[in-house]
Amino acid sequence: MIRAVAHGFCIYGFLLFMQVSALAGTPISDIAFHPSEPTAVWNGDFSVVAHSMDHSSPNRKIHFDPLKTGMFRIRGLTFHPNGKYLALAGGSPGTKGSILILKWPTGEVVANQHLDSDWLTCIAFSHQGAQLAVGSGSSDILVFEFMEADHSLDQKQILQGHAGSVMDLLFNETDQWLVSGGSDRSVKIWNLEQGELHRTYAHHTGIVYSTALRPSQANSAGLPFYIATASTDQTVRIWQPEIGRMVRIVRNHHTELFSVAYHPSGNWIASAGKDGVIRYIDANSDQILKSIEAHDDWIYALSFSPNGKWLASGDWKGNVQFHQVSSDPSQEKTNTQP
Amino acid sequence: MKPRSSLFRCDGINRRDFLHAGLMTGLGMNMADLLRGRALASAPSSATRSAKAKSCILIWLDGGPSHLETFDLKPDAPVEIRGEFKPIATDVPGIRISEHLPKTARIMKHVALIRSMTHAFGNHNTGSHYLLTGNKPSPVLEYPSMGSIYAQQAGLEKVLPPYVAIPEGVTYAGSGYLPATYQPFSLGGDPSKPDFRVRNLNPPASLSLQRVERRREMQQFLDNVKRSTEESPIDTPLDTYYEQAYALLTSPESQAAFALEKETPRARERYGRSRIGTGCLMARRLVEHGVGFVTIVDKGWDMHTQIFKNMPDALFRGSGKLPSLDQAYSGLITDLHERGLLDSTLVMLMGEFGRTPKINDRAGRDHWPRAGFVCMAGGGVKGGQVIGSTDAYGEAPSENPVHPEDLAWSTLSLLGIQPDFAYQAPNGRPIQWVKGGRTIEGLT
Repeated sequence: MIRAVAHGFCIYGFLLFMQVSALAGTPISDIAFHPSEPTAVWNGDFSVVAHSMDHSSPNRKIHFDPLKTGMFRIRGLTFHPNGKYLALAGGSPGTKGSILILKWPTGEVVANQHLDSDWLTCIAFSHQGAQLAVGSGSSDILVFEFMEADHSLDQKQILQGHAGSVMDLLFNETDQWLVSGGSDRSVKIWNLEQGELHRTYAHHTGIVYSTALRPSQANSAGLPFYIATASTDQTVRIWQPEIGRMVRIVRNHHTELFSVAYHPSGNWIASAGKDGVIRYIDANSDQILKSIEAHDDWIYALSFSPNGKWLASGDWKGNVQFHQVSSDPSQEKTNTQP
Repeated sequence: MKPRSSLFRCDGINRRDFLHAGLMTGLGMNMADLLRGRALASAPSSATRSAKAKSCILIWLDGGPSHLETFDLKPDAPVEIRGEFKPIATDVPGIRISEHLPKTARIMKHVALIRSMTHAFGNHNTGSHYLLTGNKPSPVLEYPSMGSIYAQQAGLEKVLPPYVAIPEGVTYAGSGYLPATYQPFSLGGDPSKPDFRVRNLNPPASLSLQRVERRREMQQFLDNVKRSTEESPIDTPLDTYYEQAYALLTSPESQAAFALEKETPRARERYGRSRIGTGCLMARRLVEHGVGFVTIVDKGWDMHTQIFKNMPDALFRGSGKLPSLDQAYSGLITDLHERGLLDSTLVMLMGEFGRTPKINDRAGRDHWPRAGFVCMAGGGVKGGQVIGSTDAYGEAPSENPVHPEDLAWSTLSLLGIQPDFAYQAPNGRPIQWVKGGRTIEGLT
């Protein structure tokens, strides 16, 4: 049961902050915004919680029967690009991986895939929505073809190369490349057309917990795609994966990092980790623009809303905060002190 | 004469004796009894702060493992001290450990090896009390173990218990002056056995879940009758304990967490199929399912005789304590690391004391609390280092002595618990979790 909706409001300069205490003791490992509705969802035990950003509807919780679905723990969730489906990854650690695809907003389970491997740790839809990739605790990445017509999931590829858990993954905007980060401290770039490992980056010296893709507005001039990765080595690194270049390293975090997210404008990056602080980074430099002491526990999940007006953060205790970005993010640098 | 089990300690106190003494009734309680104690518990305090570790696995080598045969060898000491084992290099330049821990040697980059643990209690029970609670043994007060303190702080809202002992707790791994509800939930059996079943989690074969359900309904009915006739703060939530016990018994989450048979053969082999190996694998599963503190008890380290045979070989070649520990410990650390869990999981390896530097006339070593080792890894600990050292013969710390108070202080701090918090006992007396400790220098 959701304990309380809005815990409190607080003004951080130009940022409005609202906290939702959702599930006591359930670490929030992923948050996703609906691509077109003002809705955010995050994981719970045997459930997901949906929160309406405009309060047009009360918070609701969609439950699953773990025995039927095999979903004992949810680790990752993502919306289909058309907003009609929500996909969940998880399972039972060391026992079984499970993928659930729910019809949105009804929550009806339309696909349920069980894998006799380890649990699944992360999930991503391709930008066209035809592919679904999941990372496993057993180090494999599985790519499925998702058919909307009959909601079928057909396994297309197994990408093997990580030497430990896959912690996060994403598709580039052409769906040609898949980027993954792992507990083996590597970032790997996979060529999906050939089903092969294209490149491995071993620059990080800690677990790569999170990956984020720079949105298209920022590289519409035909530039290679950029990604950001966050690691327990206390750095955020920005890459041009195709050409094999680490563009930038952002230090000065002084804490182990678990999550990174690009603002839809592409000009900002948010990072967070063990110290509960959210840091806003200028994507075009290595400058930390602003630090906000947001949570009193480890932050595991960050997500910007598609319109860029909200940043959601989730912590180990089960608290989710929404930070309203009330000014043009591109002006942040001039409005704040580093 | 009945052969004496190698799992006995030299003082002859085993669990049965202990239960007879009536000191550990919590472990013999049934599930509802265990949960009922909650009514007497103080509400979890706010004495927590941001944690570097979210969970803790304590591997307890019961009986007192020899530091001179494991992690603090003295190859240059006289023959009556140095023993038969040779040191080997590890993956950290300058750190050398026993030749019988070759797999552990490859994971020392994750480990902070404390070689200067020291205290003055050379008896198993007093030594265990000191190490497990961080408080000197007192004739009038039994202090809570670190696991029970964690349970008190974490609360009991989840289906899975916050503190689990594999296969069961040892003396002074319990709740001490805290309510019995913070005792560890004991598996009650050896998980390495093929017919292993978690005690209290699986109803007896003769008792079907339907019958459990009927009993629960009957309990609810009786409880409603009772509530309609009387109200008291202790009695009112009686049904809650049964509900919690029922939830644990029937919850898919708990069934999944303990389902060791679901692990792949590769995972089983990585840890080894020994008692300590399967215990470590179970601990990893429990941590992944949200259990915060797991104690694995490995008995049989009280080696007063034939230590150089018993440690590596015992009954047959490779069947001794060190090979199984080597496999289990290295497997656990490696697996946690590969699964991205080591960062949030503190792993401790220790016993109640070290062993005498001088080899006795039975080719064994006796109790020696003045020097011992503790291995700490993960959970914010800086690995690949040695903290403290002992003198040339391994008799006493030569630099940076670490006391049990310091160990408990550091452990609780890593778990986000304020170690000097004063708990309000039911009689109104404030008692600090740990008195007089300090954070171990250089540990994080």
